[in-house]
Amino acid sequence: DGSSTPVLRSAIQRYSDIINREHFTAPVNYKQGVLRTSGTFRGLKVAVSSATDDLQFGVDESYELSIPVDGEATLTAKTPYGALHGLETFSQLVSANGQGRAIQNTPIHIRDAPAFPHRGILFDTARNYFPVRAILRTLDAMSYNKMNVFHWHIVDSHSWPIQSKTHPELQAKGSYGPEWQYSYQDVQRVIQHAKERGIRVIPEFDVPGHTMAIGYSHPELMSCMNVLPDWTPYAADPGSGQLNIAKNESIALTKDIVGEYAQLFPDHFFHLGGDEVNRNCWKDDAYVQEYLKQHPREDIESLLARFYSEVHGHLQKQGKAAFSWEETLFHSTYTPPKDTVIQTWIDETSIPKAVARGYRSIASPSNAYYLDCGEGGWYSNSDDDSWCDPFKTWMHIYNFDPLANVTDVEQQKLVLGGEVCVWTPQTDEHRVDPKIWPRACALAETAWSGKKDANGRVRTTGEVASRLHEQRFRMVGRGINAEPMQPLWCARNPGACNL
Amino acid sequence: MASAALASIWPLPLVLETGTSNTTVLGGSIDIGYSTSSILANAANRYINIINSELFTSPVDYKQGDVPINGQLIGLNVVVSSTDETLGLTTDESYTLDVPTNGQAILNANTVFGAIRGLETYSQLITANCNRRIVKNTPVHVVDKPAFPHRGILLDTARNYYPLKDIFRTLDAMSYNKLNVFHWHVVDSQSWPIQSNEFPELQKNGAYGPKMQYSYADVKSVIAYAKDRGIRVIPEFDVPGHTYVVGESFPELMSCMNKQPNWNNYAAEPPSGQLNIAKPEAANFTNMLVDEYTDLFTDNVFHLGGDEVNRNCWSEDPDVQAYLAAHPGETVESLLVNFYTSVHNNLASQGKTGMSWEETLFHSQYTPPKDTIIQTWIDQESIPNTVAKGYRSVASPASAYYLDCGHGAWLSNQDGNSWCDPFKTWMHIYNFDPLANITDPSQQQLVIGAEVALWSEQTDSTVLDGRLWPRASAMAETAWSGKTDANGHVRTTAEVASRLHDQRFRMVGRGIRAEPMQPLWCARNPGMCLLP
Repeated sequence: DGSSTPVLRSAIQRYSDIINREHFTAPVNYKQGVLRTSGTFRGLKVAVSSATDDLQFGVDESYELSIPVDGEATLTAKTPYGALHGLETFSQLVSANGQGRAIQNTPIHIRDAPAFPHRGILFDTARNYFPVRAILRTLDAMSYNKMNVFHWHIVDSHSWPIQSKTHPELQAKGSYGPEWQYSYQDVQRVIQHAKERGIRVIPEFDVPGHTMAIGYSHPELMSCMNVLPDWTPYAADPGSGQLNIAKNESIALTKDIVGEYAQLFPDHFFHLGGDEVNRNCWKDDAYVQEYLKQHPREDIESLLARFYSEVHGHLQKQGKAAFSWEETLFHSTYTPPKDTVIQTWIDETSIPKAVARGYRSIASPSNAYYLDCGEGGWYSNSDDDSWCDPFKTWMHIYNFDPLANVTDVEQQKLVLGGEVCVWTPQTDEHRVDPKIWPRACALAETAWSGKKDANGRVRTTGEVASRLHEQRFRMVGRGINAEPMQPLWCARNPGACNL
Repeated sequence: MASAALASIWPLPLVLETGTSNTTVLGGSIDIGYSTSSILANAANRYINIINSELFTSPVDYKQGDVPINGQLIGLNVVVSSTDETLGLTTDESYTLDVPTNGQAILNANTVFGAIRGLETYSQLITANCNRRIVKNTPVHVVDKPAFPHRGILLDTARNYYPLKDIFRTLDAMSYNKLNVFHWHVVDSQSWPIQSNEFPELQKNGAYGPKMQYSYADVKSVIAYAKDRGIRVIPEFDVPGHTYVVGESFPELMSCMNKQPNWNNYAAEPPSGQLNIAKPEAANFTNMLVDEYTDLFTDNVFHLGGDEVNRNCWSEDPDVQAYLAAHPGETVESLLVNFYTSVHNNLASQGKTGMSWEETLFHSQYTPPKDTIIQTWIDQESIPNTVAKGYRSVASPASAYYLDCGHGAWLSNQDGNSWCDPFKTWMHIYNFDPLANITDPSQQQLVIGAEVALWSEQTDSTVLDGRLWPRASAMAETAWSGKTDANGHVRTTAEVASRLHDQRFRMVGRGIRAEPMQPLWCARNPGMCLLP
């Protein structure tokens, strides 16, 4: 009913398929017999007031769902994106009953809206490559958890998988090979698949660090290119390499890249990276040294500020706003434009600090939201832990509060949400589902539902474990290889596996 | 480093000599002559299929062009001298393999199981080059045999269930790494998936459900599939602890059944429950089970568990208390000794050898039969302690060989690490030496090998391969090739990383979802991802 849009139509088709295929029983109900029912469900009427499929930050995602004991259910939403979240909720209310399906505990009335507008996953496709099907499957899983941002960390030092029309040599020399590339068509397919699920795609082109892959085709633009054997003074990981910020050509290339991909990716936001910038890389660079000698009033910090100013300015000219890692704000002399969104990762206190300075902030603290941590180091000759050990359990993720130590109500509003991060030095297609799920679900709930219930009580992992088990098994049934949280015995016996 | 570049075999053979020619492989024929062995025929067919379907190129060779060819290989001739197909601890797994620059390759082995090891090596010598298959650096001469006779994986199918296809695939992957023991931790407190003809209610009440069971036919198919790959199946029926699930059918045999919420006084994890050792019926029950499963499982070794036995469970049990009050000479310790004596003696009367977790030896007053194999896990020092007492030892130190560790706590209301964090990296596993701190050669002989262990609290079908591989490969090489090369140099992880990358990608190509060790960039650029 109401407005129909392509996004809405495809969502209705998708959920009809899911509901008709799914035959889900919660682990706790493993001995449940056939329930006696008191009424018959006669379809769901969806009413959306907006006629546009425009998907941008802040889009209304609210919905209202009513399921009577008998008769027709109704789902109303302001936008198609609210409607598809409501469809996900509806699909989760349907469970197997004997050979048929039932909705328990009718009548049901739900009014729903997210606590935070930005609920995302960062996905690194550069350290190891992921085929498009792995990305599409991840987007499916995100939609099952009402997540709405796919932060595509698409390139990094190790590879440049994405096609470039302005600089085709970047992909030609920087990708892992012809089978490990994303064409424009692939990217558009990802964006479309995401949009149909209410997910925005924010691309990251990280500059000036994390750029060794550019050096494969443009060695002349680089500093500290793959310094061996001791890369440690120059980069967080091997291989080292940063754009040479003393060269105007580096800025020009970056602008070409930003200009090109700001066109390809329709989202209003564009991530410019800016993390782990290494000063030694430039201090020890002969060209930079010579340049600074010629320009005595300049130093590395001023060069970096100029680089950022040029690049951020260019992005603004494209009508876009920037995302930046927190170092751009905290560890450089540059002042980012006020509409920049600061993604924090180093420290949990970075969130209150970023909003205290009036910037919008996304929480990705490595000590809570880095899904790759806990697999130990990955240098072949080292038997040590990794810098971000231990493993972040779903309980640890669930317990993290993005609003911790932000007391001012206006500042709280600047915390737009959170992202869990899948950095992939030890992950590829074969391991990706269990690395992400069900742990990303823990963030998805705190970001959608907030930390507290209506009475202001903070939800505990002991209370929600049983529901998360259900979600995990539901996802497995839908083809997502989410890892188990506990022995099945625990899933079936809530409360029996608490300390 | 040189030999790693010459031939990428995992685990590394004892002797590997290579030449300077390259040879194309003209068809993957494997000739087993007049052998009537179905094991050998199956192995030959299996490797013909692997060789003909595999097109493996090492990550370091991603830019490799056309390799100049000096000769042609017209298949492999396999000669096995013995018809004895008994598979056990003393089975001869040695072989020699010669791949000439031109002509036919020859594989000689004393047993079919040695031949199977040689076939795996042969398959790993063949790589893809420009749409054809080649063997590089011919002639290749290999003389090989394992350093340790017991090289295994423990898989727990009770905390979470694994479908048969997962077990078969795991056995495949084991054969790619020359592992030879599948230690099947088949039951535990959380579930009893296996059929019992003696006590059908165990499976009926204890399996997670009708689709999460192993029938006799299933078990026999696992044993046959394993034997075809030279892998022994050692079942574990852990008593008297870890048996809550028995109580779902026989509550009268149990103590401390599912104590809540303070289960931690009675068990290492929920649900608590141990056989009531004050009741003769508990020992009788156990002996009937052992009788049944020693028939079903053909291996000479049978694992009786004996780990994490909790004394509170019994000292607070009213039946035990009443029994002890009526029998003033007895204690919980003496009851436990009686229980073990009955069970181990019964096993011996079946003509089988017991395997026990180290607590049976170190933390009870019972003295296991001298032929008992002690599996150590608590402490790395338990290995020297075991062999010093004259027992044979299998090394499974939790601090190095527990593949489940590092995933944090799993109790729902906890937010911390697990007792056995951190994660055991492949480097950490590779660096562990089962012979550490054992200097007496006769005591070294008593260390018969090692097992990595995958306890399944946080693992099931969805993540099995990535948890096992390639980390189990690290142990496989230590156990097959030993820690040192012919010059006594201890191999380092930096030296072997490139070869392990090869093995990981080879396994992925063969359908094993082994996890990546590093960015592909590191796999392609050996030596560039080291800590300076």
